[in-house]
Amino acid sequence: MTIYTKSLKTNKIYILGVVLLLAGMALSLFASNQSVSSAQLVHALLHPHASGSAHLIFYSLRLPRALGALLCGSALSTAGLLLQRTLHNDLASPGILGINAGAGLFALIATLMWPGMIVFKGLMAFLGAIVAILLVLLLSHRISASKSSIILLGVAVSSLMTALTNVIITLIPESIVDKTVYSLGGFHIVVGEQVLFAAVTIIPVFLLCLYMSRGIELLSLGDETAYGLGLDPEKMRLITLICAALLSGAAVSICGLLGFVGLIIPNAIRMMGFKDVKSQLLLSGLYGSACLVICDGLIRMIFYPYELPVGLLLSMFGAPFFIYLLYRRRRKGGG
Amino acid sequence: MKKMRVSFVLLLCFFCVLSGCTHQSSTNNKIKKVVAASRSIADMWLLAGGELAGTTDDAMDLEGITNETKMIGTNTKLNLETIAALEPDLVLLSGAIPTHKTVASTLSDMGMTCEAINVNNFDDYALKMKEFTEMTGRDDLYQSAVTDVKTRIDATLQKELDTKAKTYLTIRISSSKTSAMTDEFFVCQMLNDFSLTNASVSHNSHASLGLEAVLDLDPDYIFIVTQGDETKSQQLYKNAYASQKAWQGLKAVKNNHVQILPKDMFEYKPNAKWDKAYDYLYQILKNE
Amino acid sequence: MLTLKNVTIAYDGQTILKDISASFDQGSLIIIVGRNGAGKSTLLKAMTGFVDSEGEILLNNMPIHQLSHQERAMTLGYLPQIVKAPEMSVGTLVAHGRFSRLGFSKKLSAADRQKIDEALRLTEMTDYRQRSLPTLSGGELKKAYCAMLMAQDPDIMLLDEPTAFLDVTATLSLMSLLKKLVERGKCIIMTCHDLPQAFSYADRIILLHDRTLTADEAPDVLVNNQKLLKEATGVTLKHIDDPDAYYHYILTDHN
Repeated sequence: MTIYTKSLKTNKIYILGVVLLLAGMALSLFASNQSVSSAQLVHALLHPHASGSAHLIFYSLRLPRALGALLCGSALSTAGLLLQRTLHNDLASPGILGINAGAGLFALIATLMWPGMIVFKGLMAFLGAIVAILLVLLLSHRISASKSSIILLGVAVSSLMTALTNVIITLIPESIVDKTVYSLGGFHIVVGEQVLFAAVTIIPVFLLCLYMSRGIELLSLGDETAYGLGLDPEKMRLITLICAALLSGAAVSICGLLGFVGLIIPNAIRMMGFKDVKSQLLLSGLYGSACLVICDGLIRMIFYPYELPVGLLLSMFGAPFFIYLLYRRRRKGGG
Repeated sequence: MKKMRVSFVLLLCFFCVLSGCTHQSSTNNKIKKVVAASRSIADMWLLAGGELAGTTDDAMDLEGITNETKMIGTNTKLNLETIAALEPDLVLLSGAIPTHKTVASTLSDMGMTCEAINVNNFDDYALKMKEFTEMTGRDDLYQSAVTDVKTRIDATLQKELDTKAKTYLTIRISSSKTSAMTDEFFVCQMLNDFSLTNASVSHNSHASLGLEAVLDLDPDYIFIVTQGDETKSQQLYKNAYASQKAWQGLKAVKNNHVQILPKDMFEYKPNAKWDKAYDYLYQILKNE
Repeated sequence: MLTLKNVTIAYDGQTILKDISASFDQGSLIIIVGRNGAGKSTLLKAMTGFVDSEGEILLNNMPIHQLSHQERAMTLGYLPQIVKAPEMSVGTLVAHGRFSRLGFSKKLSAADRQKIDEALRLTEMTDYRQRSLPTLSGGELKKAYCAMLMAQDPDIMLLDEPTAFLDVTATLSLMSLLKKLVERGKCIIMTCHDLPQAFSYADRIILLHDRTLTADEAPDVLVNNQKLLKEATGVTLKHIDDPDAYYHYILTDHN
């Protein structure tokens, strides 16, 4: 009954999450390579007013990048969770429903129209994410779609958005900074300004979702029951979906189309036995961050000095996990 | 009195400008550590007598690369940490690679000096080489790498050639796509110097080029530039064009005017070999 | 008190029920009967305001749509016919019954906990508290939702086929529980397919037929209007006097 009381029974999982996140941050911030040693980086942290290349690397490259990964990880996995809860479908995620693709398309249009304006890029990404989810909702409403049809509609909307994006990229190749980084998602270049913009969106939206967690949980009882208990289910769902869109939009404007985080993490949390929305939100945020920060740290280390998009590593783990999920669902006879 | 004051101000301005100039040249003298973010740019800097603190993986085989030279990733995905750790005085980026714009703003924010290099033809090359050799203080190298080359190019272009009103098409083939190049591409600019006309001015250089479009244009000459893995590109050329029946009906094919251009001069910019590249094209066009 | 004044319900341009007027007071058990598709569930949904309707629906003399959702749910509870079984414990489900009073942020008070415990006890679900909803049988699930409604503790409870999946003993105990709540002053409005059961427990029977409210009478009065019953339900009923019988009506075929 954690949704009505304060008890956090399974503290261990929270502690593990925090430990993983801290380890990931340590890896991401202080891992040494041929250019810079851990000691130099720690020194840079402890002496913020010093100068030198280690100082520059720490504050201009590593810190924004690690914070970017942290924010994007929690935003994407929370968005996935919100979608799964509101649409009653474990397979929902910002990637599959076309929200990421929508945000990506609009962010691309923004970079064409207002190059270098990070704020516009972020705002347009929100708009694209919201347009995509509303499109899916509207269409599913029109054809009174079932659970699986919503996913299919999402896939269709996603392809449409991706197709439009590809048309733009093909016609105006300069519009895209780097196609592989964009479509696989990565943190190759993260600017402090971007992180700030994402933070002022992601943190309040996440807190709002925590506040609304009872309402989100009531949605899983079905609209009629939720209504009977004193909730406006339509409004609740809309607000929740818009929150999901804002979270993904903010993330996409930093890291491109990062798939699978939104799918893997919330499902893993559920499998660990966390059923109430509040714990799921907290843990998805925590583990989503930890996962991205660690993956980004690893991919930088393994392939140094080459920069590979972190999406590559995530998809490599994510795709088999997705297959496992489907397999498990089938075995359970769920549909 | 007033006159004196004015002249004093003018004098002051003059000194300021003068000191500005000397200041400029003194920063140039300080440039020791240079990072070049593409093969072609690395090549130019080395030709100008410079040394490289770091460059991209595809340039690591260039003559003049030492054990000290650090590899800084690929030209599209530069490793910013490696660059920052080198504490370079100057980072030479490419104006043609889209990621380099974002890289430039990030590195500038970190207090590094960046310069975007755009070279589309020999004149661009000459201008940049002037700048580079001034930085390195090697005027002698400007003579051999630019002035002498320029003389030889002019000599080539002076030669009689009956190519007026002839059209050509330059197709760039990589292992993944084929595209018709527009006049922005340096090979096209060279061919234009021989008074040929690019048949594909209006074509989008980045969309794949279908055989039908080639048939439609039916140029007098077809030049193929391969990119990346040569065998794969050649295979693609065969599959996409050469093996097709319709290909044989082209004017250029019938007259044996289809040429695969050598990579060393036409994939990357020829730099010191601009004259040889011009001469190579001349030899082809001469065999009318 | 719940009042319906000339309520007409249409869906997709098709009138489902027209011109329904009725009033429901505290301390009574009203059972809505009628054939499949007569509009029983729709009427209940309209009473909660979940389904749009024309006419007036007044909750304690206030138009229902002028109340906030939480205000409405404090007075009027609703249990749908088909309930979902998401991954959630019975205890949490029943605690959700307190949502109208707690909103998004308030924590459970001692009084709230007492209500929850009582609801579980009344529905004999105390031992199921930690069980997850998907592991329950259909009947157990229905009882868990009843417990949620008890915890919500509204003055007026609308239940759509609450006994549908229950076995005989569970049906009897639920009906006697509902009776007990009515005695405490609750107003319970439910739908039911089982005519002998409905006639045996109800204070009032509402008969829906041909898109209208055909009868709104006490069971012992309505049972005598055999022509109407036959037309509206296809059967007639007969009162029996047996002190051992649970149901005091049996189905007959009066010609």
